Amino acid sequence: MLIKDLVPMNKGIQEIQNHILHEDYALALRRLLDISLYTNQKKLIHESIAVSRAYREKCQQNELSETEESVLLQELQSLLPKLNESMVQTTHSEQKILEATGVSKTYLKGNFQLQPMDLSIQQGEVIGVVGENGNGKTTFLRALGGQLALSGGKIEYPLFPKANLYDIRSKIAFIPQRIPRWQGYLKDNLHFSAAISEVYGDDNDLMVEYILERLGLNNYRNLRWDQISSGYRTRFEIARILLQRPSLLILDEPLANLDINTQEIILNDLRFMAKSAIRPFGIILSSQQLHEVEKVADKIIVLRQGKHIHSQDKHQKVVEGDTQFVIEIETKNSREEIAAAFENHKVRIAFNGGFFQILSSELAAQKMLNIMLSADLQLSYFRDITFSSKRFF
Amino acid sequence: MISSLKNLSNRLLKNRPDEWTTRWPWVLVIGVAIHLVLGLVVLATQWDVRYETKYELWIGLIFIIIILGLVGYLLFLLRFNVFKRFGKLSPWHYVGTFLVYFFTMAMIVSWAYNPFAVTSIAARLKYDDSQVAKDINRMNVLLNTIEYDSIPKLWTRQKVVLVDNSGKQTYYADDHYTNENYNYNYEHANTSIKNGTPHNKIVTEGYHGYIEMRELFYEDTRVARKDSLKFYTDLATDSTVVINDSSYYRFYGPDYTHAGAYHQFFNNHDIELTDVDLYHQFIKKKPSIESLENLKAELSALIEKYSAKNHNNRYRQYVNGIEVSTAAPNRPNCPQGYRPYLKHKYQLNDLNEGIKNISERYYMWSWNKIGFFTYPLYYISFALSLLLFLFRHNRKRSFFYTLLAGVLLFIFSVTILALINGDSIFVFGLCIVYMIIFAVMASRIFTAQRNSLIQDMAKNLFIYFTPIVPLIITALYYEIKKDLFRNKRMEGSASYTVQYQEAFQYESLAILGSQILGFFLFIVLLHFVYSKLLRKSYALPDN
Repeated sequence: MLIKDLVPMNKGIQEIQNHILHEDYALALRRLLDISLYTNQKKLIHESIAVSRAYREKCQQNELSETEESVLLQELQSLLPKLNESMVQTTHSEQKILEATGVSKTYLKGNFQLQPMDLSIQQGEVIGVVGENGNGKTTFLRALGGQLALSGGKIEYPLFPKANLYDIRSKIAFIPQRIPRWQGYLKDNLHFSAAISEVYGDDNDLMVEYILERLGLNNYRNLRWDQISSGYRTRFEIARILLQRPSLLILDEPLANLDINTQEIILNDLRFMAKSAIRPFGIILSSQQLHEVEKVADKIIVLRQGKHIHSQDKHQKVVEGDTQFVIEIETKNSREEIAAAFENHKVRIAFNGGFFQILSSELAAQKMLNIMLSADLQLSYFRDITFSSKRFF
Repeated sequence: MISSLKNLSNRLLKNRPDEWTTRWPWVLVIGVAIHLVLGLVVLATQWDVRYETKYELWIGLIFIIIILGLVGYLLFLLRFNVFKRFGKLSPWHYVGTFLVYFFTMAMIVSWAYNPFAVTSIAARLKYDDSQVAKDINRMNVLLNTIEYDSIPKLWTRQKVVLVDNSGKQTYYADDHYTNENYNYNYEHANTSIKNGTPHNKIVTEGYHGYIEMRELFYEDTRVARKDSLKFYTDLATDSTVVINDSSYYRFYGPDYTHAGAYHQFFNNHDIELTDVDLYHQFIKKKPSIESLENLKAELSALIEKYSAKNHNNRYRQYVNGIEVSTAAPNRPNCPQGYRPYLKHKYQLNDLNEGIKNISERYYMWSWNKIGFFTYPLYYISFALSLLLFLFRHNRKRSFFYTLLAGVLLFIFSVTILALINGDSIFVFGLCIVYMIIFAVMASRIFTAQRNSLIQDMAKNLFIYFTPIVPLIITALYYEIKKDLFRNKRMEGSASYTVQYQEAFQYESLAILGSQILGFFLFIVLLHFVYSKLLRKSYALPDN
């Protein structure tokens, strides 16, 4: 069986061309860098880095002029056929990285208990763990990462059947919510991380250049930890971990320090990299940013008071008989005016302080939207959360 | 230089990260630079090696520099750690890293040896040992020639009476002893030997360990204890006359060697002119002197060459605040006063101080002194590098709790030792018991499912003391053997000392061998066992 969402090479090239067509050069260049890595050819990777860097530097100085844009397009267009020719056609069989069965944790001190939970993750899969504060997300992630001894259950690593505990932990990267301080220059840390993963010499230089360019960190390479913001610290930590080429990446609240745009970019990039045709890896991340996580995760796990209360698989959004349709809206209209719009239907309206949630067993989201528009309600925000974990908050 | 160092460091970073984290190129360069700076300072202030160097002050100063160096090095070592990042480690990572730490620590600790090395080099640059030996001989010849009329020619006879102390009751043969101070000429002594009892007939049975004997000592009667072996060795000299099985005459000539300290310069090249040589060649028959003034000038030049002039050296002797050499300057004809007279006249204390200082520096690195330098360097470097190694391969909590446990264990052991008045056998036995307990506890890590602080501490203590396990076992073996030896009835005709020396003739070699074995045992265990133990222990999940 093949990984379902692996990006086929030619599809990747088409995607780049599509981004160029819509003048989304930044995204096109990011994908260009990704695809160049798939070719496994140093020259092409170097060229891709050079094109991306030139574009970024010009953008930093001022708006891209027509001439510069045309040069960039020429460079891109000249690179794409080379990339297409050099693509390595790979087929990865879907391999399970981790399988947790009945995992539970009780601390010696305190009342918190993580109830028995099951989880399995495969290469290229992204799993989001959501829940309110203090509900066991970090405990669960640390247990999966081998940092925390289990009180019950077991964790197996089918991908490393003969590896010892130390080697397994070297394949599982964990980025904590509070990232430990880095010492020395940032670039030295990146070279070091690549080197301890057996990326030596010129390859080491190339991979560090690549990751700096890929995550837009090149301008900060010669700085120290104290000289960058917390958001960039998270990005550097991700860069460092990616250089270590993990098989499973566990991120505890990685979005906490990132701005809205960066959150989306980082999550989409991580998802893209996780599904790499060359070296796919699994991602488990916890976050409070439900919508952002739901967009990239293949599976969502909702925890409440240490208990697994809900799982949502992205590929199983089917309407079943007893499905409760739920929408979330923001409007200046009152609850009474909303209720009046739905007077002929059986709905329940809840207000959580910021948004109204409208729940119905008979009306699908699109119908509810139509009714509200017909009633001339002034909507400033609408979201169908029928299949979202947001329902549990 | 700096850019080359950075390039090397950069290459290590990208190719050998575990080596890079040890920062050995920087330690090497900075270590050598500090050696050079220190060397220049020492050389500038201590160039004249005739004068004493206050090594303790230098070591005090350098100790502060060493502490600063260690702290700086440790701060750098906090930065990157391949092991703690679960990086890919080569099979030789553990041994290699430890050895690098060992050499970096040795480099830092070696700063303390700088003043010794530099003053030794200065001595070797300025003096030639063969020439110094010749000069010392020449000075003694000149002194005895110039002062021929002032020096005594008669010999002193000392009667030695052995006392049997094999039983608890000790008695002295006082009636054979005389308080009289005899002066004899050399021929008398020589003739007596020819007519005396052959030395190989001396009966030694019954004299155990130390021999108590009465002897004349500075016109006073006192009991001296001498090692029996040394005593019988002394008897084999040609100035001993045997009266009977327990009484001897020993003949002592006057001192004619006025210049020279410890005679180290005669070790390799030249033959020292002893008192007897000087007596035979220059005193027995009065030498003819052509020009006294020339001799005096030659002597003066030689004294000038070696004398630590006006130096307040530790070999000056004071009585009631007055230097001995000035206390009796006007007694050239008195046998007891000729040496103070000569000391005063030629400032021999300063001369001998100068020669002593030169010789000490010159032969500082000779084989018989090598242990003085190598043992502290080896053990301090080893102890520090092993601490550093454990720090880098442990959770911080485990490491610091191990230190605490070590201190507490030491206090506990010392308390037990004091309470039961334990001897060295108890101490070594206790160490072995501890090691067995640590080994059993540490071995449980291999099957553990979660990290345990107790097991971690046991593991660290076991690893830390591994290099001295063979030494402890060897020492325990010899202590038990000595204990049995003391309680054993003496057999045969050999003295206690001889039997003791035969029984323990390989002790020093065994002790040295056990220390070398300890080092290699540690390296082998580190490679094959401790590496796995450290990995497993560090990877185990927390509770």
